[in-house]
Amino acid sequence: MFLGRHFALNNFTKGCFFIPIFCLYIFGCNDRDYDSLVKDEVIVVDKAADLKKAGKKITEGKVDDAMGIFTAVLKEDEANVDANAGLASIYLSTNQFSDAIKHANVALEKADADYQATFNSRVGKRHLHLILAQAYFYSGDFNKSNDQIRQVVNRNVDLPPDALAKELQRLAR
Amino acid sequence: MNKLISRIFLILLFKGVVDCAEIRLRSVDSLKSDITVQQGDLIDLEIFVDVGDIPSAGVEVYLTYEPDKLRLVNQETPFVQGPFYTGTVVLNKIVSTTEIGFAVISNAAPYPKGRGIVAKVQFVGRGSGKARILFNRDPKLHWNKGKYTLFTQFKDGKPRLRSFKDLVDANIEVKNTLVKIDRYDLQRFVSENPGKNVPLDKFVIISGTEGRPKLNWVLNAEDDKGRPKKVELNVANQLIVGDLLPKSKGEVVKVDLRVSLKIGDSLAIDTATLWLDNKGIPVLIRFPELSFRAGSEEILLLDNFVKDMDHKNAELSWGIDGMPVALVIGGVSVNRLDKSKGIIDNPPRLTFRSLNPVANTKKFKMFVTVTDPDGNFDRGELEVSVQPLPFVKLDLTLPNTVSLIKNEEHHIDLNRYLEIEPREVFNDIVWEAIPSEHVSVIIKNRILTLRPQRDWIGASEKVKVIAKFENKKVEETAITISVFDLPTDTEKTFPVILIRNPILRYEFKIVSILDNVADLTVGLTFPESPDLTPRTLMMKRIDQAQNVWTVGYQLDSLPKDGVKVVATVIGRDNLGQDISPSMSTFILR
Repeated sequence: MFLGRHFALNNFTKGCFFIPIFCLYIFGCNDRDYDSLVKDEVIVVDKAADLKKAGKKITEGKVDDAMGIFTAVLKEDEANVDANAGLASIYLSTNQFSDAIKHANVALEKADADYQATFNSRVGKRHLHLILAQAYFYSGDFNKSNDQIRQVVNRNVDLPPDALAKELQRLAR
Repeated sequence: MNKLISRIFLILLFKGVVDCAEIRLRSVDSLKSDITVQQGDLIDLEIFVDVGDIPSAGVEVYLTYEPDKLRLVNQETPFVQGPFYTGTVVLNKIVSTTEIGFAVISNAAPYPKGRGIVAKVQFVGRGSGKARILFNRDPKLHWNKGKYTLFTQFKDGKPRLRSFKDLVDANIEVKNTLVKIDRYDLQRFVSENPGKNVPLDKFVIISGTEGRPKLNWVLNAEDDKGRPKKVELNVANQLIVGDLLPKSKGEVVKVDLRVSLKIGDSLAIDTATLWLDNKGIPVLIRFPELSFRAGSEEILLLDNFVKDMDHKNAELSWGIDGMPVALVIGGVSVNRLDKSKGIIDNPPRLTFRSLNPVANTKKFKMFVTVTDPDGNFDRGELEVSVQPLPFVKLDLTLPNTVSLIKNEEHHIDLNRYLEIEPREVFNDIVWEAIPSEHVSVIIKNRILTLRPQRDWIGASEKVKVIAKFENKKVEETAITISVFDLPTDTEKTFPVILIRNPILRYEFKIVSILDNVADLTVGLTFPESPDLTPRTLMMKRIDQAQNVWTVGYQLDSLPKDGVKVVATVIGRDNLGQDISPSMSTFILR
């Protein structure tokens, strides 16, 4: 299946590449079998646009599509904060907590202090800590969950499981 | 004085030899005196005379032969009078061990003249080699003994004794007697007349025509493994075939024949080999490989796999050697039942059924023997392959106790708890469910839906889930159902917490913290969102904390105005007692 992509031209260099390719595409399409040329994988052309698209997919509830975009971004840029953050939240939803922790940690390591996710401007470093706190909680590692809570609330807390759960509920409300 | 007279007479006699007088011993058949015969041949001879133009009144003939080479046929009266002299036979006998004599005298006219046959005599060739039959002609030896060959001739009206001028003896060559077995005809007879006795003498060519001599046979028989077999002739020299024939297909019996004929000192011998196979043996055709699933049956009609030239199919008996204990056979005719070897029916058929389930495809080999009423048999290998039923395991360990909320359905995706091997039969598994008294069960596309009866609440009702393959049950499991009433809003006996995903805002997990609990179920209702269906979810214990229970749920999307979620947790404690339900309400925006 040919996946129609929006090709965002951000600079002149990309334009130089794009014009001859576009001409080939327009004039040569009659003779081409695109089904065999383009496979079911996402090809990243414009990372920012793609990440925004992933954010839209999440809002629409199309988690699988969002996951495909995040994975494709990571293929080109494995330290990408947005993609790691997005994947961490998806793995949290599917109870794959170790994967969620892995991606959330990468995102946290690379995220600036005032990080704001491309795919959702409301997502920041706080959300990454919350993802980690929840993932550790569901994994039964309440100490590490508390560690993450401390990062969010800026207080020294050491909550038992029931209080920890309530705090997670409150923070993620 | 007498000697002198005798000599004078002899001189007169030989002076009186008639120039043209001739006597000849010759073959009746060839009229020649040089004769060749086989040992045992009958030799017909005649005494031919030519006395010339002067009439002759009689003749006296003496023949000397070799008894070791020739046997006189008629020992009493060796000669048979011929037509030339019609007078009285005055001598016709053996005159010594090597001589025979014949004399005839005509007493009345007309007396014969010219040529003709005096007598006939028969010998049989006995020893091989050259044999002569000589006229006695020696004037001294034979005359003195009174065994001289002569004839009478009239002179001056009186008969006078005369010697023959020419005496031609018989020179006989007796060749060895031959016996020869006609192998081709003999083998053909055996092939064309299966089971019939073989008249061996008819297939022997013997030189000599003196009747049918008694042939001596020596026979030896062995099977194709070299084991000797008893071989017999009946009184008519017929080979008795019946018991000699091989009983099973592919076997042959070799019969070595030796025929001998002794004539005199000569022994004629010939040998041949005769091969006997049994055309009446029922022959098994290769059986197909039987293949069936464990627990099912496969039938083999035996008549389709045998060829019997005797057309004795109806009388064939069947047996099985090496019947595997893992298989049982059906299709019983009691009177032909052989429990140790399997069961044979009429028309004969084998019905196999595997006794036990098998883990892998198992092949069993056995031997089927078919025997005709004559005891001829054939044996063929039969391979039966039993394939296992597919392995189906529905492990409902986790949800084997399900707590439902009154009037709410509960769905279980069986795929999550299912193992099927091999995977190819996945879609061939048919699912059946047995409902309980108050809970109906529907299975569609491997989604099991439990639906409690309207307004019914209760506990410990069991529903059964059955997997079938080709109408055979391959798995059965049970689920215990409890149905609770929803508690009122005021009840909150233990924490029911909803933790939202920080990014996927429509995904959340319900968490409850409770000790000594065996199972917990959360019922989700969305009282202000009629489009959202209530759900019942089994909660799972967090591995590291025995009292922390959780289950996740994801809405399709988050409605713009948010959604109100009522989570009611119900369950049982470790003693199997229902715990007091707890409930919380949440607004997701």
